[in-house]
Amino acid sequence: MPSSPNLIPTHSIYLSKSTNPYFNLSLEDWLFRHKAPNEPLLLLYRDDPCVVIGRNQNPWKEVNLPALRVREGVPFIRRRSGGGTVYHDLGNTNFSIHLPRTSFDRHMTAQVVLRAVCSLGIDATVNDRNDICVGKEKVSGSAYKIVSQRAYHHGTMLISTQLNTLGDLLHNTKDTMETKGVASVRSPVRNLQQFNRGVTHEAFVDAVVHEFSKEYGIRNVDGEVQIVSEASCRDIEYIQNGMSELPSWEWAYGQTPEFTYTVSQAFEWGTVTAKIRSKHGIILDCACSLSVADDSVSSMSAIQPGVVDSLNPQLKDIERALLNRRYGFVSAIEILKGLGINGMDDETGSGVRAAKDIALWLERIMNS
Amino acid sequence: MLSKQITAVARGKGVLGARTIHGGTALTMSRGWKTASANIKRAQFHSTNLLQAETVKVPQMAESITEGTLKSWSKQVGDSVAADEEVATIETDKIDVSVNAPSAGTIKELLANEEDTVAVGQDLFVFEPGEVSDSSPTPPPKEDSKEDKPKEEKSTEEKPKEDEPKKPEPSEKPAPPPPESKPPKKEAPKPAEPKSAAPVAGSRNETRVKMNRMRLRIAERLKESQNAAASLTTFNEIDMSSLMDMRKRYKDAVLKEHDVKLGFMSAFAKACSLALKEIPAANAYIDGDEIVYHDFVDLSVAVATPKGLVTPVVRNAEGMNFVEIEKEIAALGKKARDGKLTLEDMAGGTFTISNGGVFGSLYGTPIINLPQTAVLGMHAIKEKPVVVDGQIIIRPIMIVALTYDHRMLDGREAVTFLVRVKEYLEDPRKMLLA
Repeated sequence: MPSSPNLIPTHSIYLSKSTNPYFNLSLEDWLFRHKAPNEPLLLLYRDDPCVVIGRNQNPWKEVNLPALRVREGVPFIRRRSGGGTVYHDLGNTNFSIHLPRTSFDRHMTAQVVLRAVCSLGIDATVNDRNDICVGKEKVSGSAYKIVSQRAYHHGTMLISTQLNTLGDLLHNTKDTMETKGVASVRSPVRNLQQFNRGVTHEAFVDAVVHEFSKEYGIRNVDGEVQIVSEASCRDIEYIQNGMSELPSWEWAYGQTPEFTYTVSQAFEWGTVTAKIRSKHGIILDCACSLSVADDSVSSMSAIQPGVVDSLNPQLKDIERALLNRRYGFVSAIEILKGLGINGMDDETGSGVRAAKDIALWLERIMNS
Repeated sequence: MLSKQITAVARGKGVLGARTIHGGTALTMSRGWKTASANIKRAQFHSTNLLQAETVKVPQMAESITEGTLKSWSKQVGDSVAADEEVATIETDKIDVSVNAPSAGTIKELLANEEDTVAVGQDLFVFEPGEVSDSSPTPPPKEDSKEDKPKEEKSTEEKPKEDEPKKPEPSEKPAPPPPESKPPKKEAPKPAEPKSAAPVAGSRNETRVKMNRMRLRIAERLKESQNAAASLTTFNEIDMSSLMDMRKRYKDAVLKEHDVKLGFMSAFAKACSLALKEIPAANAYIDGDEIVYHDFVDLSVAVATPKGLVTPVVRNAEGMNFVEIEKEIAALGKKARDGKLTLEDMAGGTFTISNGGVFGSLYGTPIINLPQTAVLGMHAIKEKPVVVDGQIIIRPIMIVALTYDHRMLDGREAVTFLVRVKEYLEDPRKMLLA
């Protein structure tokens, strides 16, 4: 069997057969960078379940990482365009319109997609954030990217997405995490199928292709539409590189703008407050302070007075152990090694126990 | 060869000694730092580079977007870049804007910090084009950029405001290199001084509110109008007694029969329509090198809404009677206040009437609504002593202003237009004879 010929970026309409989000985002970027700069291009694709954050966002602030970990095989991915956090699954269809930078008009591109939605019998509108809504609820979120000669407007379209999952995975209220990352603007969302049961991914795709072709004067639509498979891009290095860059720590976490997370935890022997400062995914510093509650000592039979005094220098060691480590990727065992404590089972002195409590707690909060 | 003056300026902050003048020959200047001898002092190194350095500015982002937040530097000072490689990322309004290197080269200086708000056209980084082999010049640029950074932080605040009205900065290559001469210059105006020690009574608080899109558009169009047209204003007074009398007599009947209030707008609209027939240039517009005359009068009526001033259009006002005009204006006013005006409602007027009088203004120079040629401003009616048939009596007087584009209308025509309007309004019966 002959292998699929390599994909070429000379057509105007691309429909991806793949549901691999890493592939689809890399395909989008490749088309973005290699299509003739003055020609319009449309790409439509669907992804397997994943959470997608904006280029300049903070995943620890935006994504419910513990909930995400529970769902096997659902990753979070940082995309290359700006904006906020969204959830993709097969009930969501993504559109991406690429245009020359000089004639890029977000409102016009939104109108193209709006017309497509309306043609499906849905009374949709565009709100003042350029998102498509039905009434007060969003059915689509948009984001954009501009480089030297090209620009794109891409977005989601909720057709039959699992909205409960969406709500769960995007639910994150870390009030004490102050971040310079771009914040998501949360809005209530609904599926198109809730307004018209007959709407499907195929129908939406046809409608968008039709409106796009009308708007940009594409004749011979059938000749322009290219169905893309992962196999046809196996030899395209740019796409392969993109697919390995996206899940890398450097991209997924290392692009996070600076943030400071202040958390407190009450233990039996007192309360520890940690203020962790991180930039580009690296811990810049961690300030830990300890306060003892007056009645805590009397409630504990095993704690010796003076254990708190032994804790303060240990806190300094813990702070040092975290320095320059990757935020969210430090285990309690690694922290304790910095204190000369090997493993969790070694030594049972109460001072050591407190240090272990703190290390475990720090590991946990950075993973939340 | 470069003149002594230019090299002196370029050296700017550099420490000059006799040795440097010898070391800094035309040869080294023209061939760049690569061939500079080891004897040349660091400051000279840096100033030599500036002669070849380019300042890259914040690019255009999307329509009507004027600023964004610099999110991250992808490259640092001393890094080499390929042509079109990303150097920085700016985010604004869900857009990720990539700032790319115009050609292959080295980053010399970063002119803004991460998280700064940067404006379109603002200087963003300095880079030296050309293939780079080694990284030895890193120490000097870093030192200078550290000095420049605190100054630049202050000037970054000034820059967004200053760069807007100024046209694109002069190009980098010729004489005084921008980055070098700019920081000292900007120090002089308002540096962000720390609070003075003397206690001050009262709040010193500032509140910043982002301009909404409507206001930004209005601001843009007003400036366009001022720049394009040769605007001047002519005034006149109107004795409103006859019109007020007419209104008093018939307003109740009109309200009962047609369910609309009989105001003065309809009279003004009618008077203007008739006067425009006589002075067609006031109802025309310039298109390139042609003047386009209209057979119809589409009257833009200025309406104040909570969001700002809008001018919906009454189409074919020349064919409407008083009642029809009032009805149309009332309907448009309601749409405006409900925020339901469409672009079609507001496009294509041929003449504008603006009523500042409802707010109490006495005199005023309205601004032309491009691409129209003239605008009539109505003001408040005040009882004034006037002379009629040799007697001093009290009459209600309104001052009207006509701002017109002198490219289209001469003084004679503008004054005649306004006089006609005055005559029609002082004796409405004349409108029946026109």
